Amino acid sequence: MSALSNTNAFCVAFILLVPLAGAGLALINTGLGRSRGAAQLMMSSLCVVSIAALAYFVCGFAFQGRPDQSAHWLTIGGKPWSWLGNGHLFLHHVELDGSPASLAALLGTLTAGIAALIPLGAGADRWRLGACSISTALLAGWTYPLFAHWVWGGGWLAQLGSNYGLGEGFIDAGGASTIQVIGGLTALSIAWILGPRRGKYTHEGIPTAIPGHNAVLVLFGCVLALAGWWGLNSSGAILFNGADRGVAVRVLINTLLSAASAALAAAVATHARFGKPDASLTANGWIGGLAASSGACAFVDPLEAAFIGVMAGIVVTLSVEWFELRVAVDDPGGSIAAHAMGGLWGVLSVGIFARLPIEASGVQPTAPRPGQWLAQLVGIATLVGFVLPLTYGLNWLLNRVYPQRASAEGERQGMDLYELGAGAYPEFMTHGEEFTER
Amino acid sequence: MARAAPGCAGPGAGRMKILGFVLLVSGWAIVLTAVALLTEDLPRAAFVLAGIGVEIVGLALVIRAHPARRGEHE
Repeated sequence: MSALSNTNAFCVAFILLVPLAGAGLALINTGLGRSRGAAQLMMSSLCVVSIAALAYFVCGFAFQGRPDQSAHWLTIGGKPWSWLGNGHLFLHHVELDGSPASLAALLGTLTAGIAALIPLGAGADRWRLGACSISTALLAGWTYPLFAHWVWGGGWLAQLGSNYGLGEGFIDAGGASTIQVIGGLTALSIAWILGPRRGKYTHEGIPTAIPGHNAVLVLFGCVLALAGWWGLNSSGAILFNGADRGVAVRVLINTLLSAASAALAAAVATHARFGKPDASLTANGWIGGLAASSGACAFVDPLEAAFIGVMAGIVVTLSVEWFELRVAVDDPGGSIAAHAMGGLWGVLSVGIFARLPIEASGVQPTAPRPGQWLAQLVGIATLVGFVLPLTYGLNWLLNRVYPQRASAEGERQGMDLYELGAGAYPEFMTHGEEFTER
Repeated sequence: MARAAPGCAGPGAGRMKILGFVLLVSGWAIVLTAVALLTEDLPRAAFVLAGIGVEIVGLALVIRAHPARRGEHE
């Protein structure tokens, strides 16, 4: 007999939207990169999604686990801390029948790929295909499931409420932390390890503009990403937070309002800063608003969602400039600002605005739970203090045995010709003069 | 046009990076310890914030240890 209830059927429909988030991110990353690396970047996106799905299938879901399954425990101060799922490899013993466990496996197979797509934007135009494939296997097979267990698999962050009275425990409805911040921090690690693109900084340390090659791809990618985020946020709220399918309408509205507010805030901020609105930064703002919406989308009112979006748009715009101009991190796709900074703000916004728990009737409490903000801060501290060193360390080790950056010749030639032997736009071969001495 | 902040590119960069990551993990350890051992709200919140402060110092060191590679021109 099928375990597919009406709510789970809705959940399946929402999960079917999730690949659109991947398509949107791939188009955005490609559009913000150089034309002579476009085919390699789209090829990398496809490989990354494929490898992430396989790695998650092999061991990721086993490590992530489910709250109702066995797990590896530590006892600290007399309290149980669940730190790793104890499931079976290759999805063994998971009934693929529409049950919540099977839907979590389906969603995770897709979201591991979404998280792995994010670093591609930071490594654009210099990250080798083989290296990003191995890095993706590490992310989807270990880093992502480990943290996802802590948040969505009944791990110690989720238990902060029951064990220590910190609100409802760490809450993340749609993956602001598990997907966006994990991907964003991996993007930061990759940008550090690869170093900036050749010609990005002069000898004096002054950054030069290397504009994206196709704004149309970028802006169309934003629209696709919205549909994908609707799927992410709605299915996450239903599967991991016990929300009823009726909550999905609130999630859809809040997600749209957050993205729209963030994009407009970024457009206004760039207009005020540069005299004209900047298309790529506005797109980054949109994605930052989506990333921020993922945290609290199911637990806030539309006005609060719009405010979360405005703040995300401002944070992302300032972050892009700060990373590029002040700390010399070359992130062509704006992945670090949009996903890591937007996601961190989304996680924090749960502690400030979210009213938990939602009753079965759909009625929300009138005020946030005491201690919820502290639970969210513990999650943020874990992301910065544990996940960043972990993902940096794994990619640093990989770089020692398999250099991740393309050779100087590869960058000069363009990643398309260097790695694939053919360009994305063979009839339009115009190269800028980024390599001349400044 | 603004300039990127000068980073530490000499032999001290490696040690600075290691120290930064050690501080990141240490800050997280302070946060975990506060959650596990303290029961009153105010001291627990204070130690969690202190742990995050240590993480910020560590992050600043890691950022300083990763300067732009100025010599990437042909």
